[in-house]
Amino acid sequence: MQNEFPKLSSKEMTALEMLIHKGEMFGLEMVEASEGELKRGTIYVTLSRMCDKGYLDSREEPRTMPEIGIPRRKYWATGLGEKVYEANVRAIEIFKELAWGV
Amino acid sequence: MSNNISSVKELLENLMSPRVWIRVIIFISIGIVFVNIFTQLFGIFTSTNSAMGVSLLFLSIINLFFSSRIIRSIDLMIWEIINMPTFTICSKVSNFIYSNKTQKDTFEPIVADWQEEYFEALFKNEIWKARWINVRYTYAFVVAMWQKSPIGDLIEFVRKIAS
Repeated sequence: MQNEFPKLSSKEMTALEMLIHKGEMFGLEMVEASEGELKRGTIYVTLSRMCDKGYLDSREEPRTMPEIGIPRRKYWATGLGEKVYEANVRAIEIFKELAWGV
Repeated sequence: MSNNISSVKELLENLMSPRVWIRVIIFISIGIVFVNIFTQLFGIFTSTNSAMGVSLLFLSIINLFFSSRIIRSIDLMIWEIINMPTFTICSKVSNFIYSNKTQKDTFEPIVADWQEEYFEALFKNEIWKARWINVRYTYAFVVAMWQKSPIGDLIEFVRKIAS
């Protein structure tokens, strides 16, 4: 099972790409930055699954004084997440090279 | 006379209040559901008219018990639920159905974002935008609940195998 290639879905790729290149982000920021690829209803399901796999980590960010409501959650990519992302990017490149000679 | 005027006024005020209409709609729905169940079970009503007639009869019987303590407490509970903010209702539903971990990891962040956008719209006095945010996030919440259900997990599993 450990030798299995950790394939990422397109949503997971987008989320990891953003977190690696832009650093720590809130879920809502990721939805807005993805320009429609990540949706409000699916983002947290995807992020929680990625946290379970160890690709991401998160913490609760307490709200500053005038703001009210429950604390928001900030996410960042772990070392494993970065490696998995790199592996997937390289796998796609190799596939393109073999399939179309790009 | 003054008593009559006040009672008529009271009656009109009651008729204007959304609480009364919501109560009537709820009881009509309950009546129709009950009548449909009886129809299905015993096949006693052959036409929709007779079914509707019995549902109205059922309603009038329910109305007799309106003053009872149980009906009043149910009524109050329904009214409290109606008056709750939408994100509180959604949060309570998901908290009842899913585990604490799922609630913390998946549903609480959605509610946090919901509150963020909703209060921002209210702060800017954009009431319609706030209502639209409520609709949008209710849909998002339902989608998340569906995805976190066993059927959603199964679909995810099948999709993974297929890809």
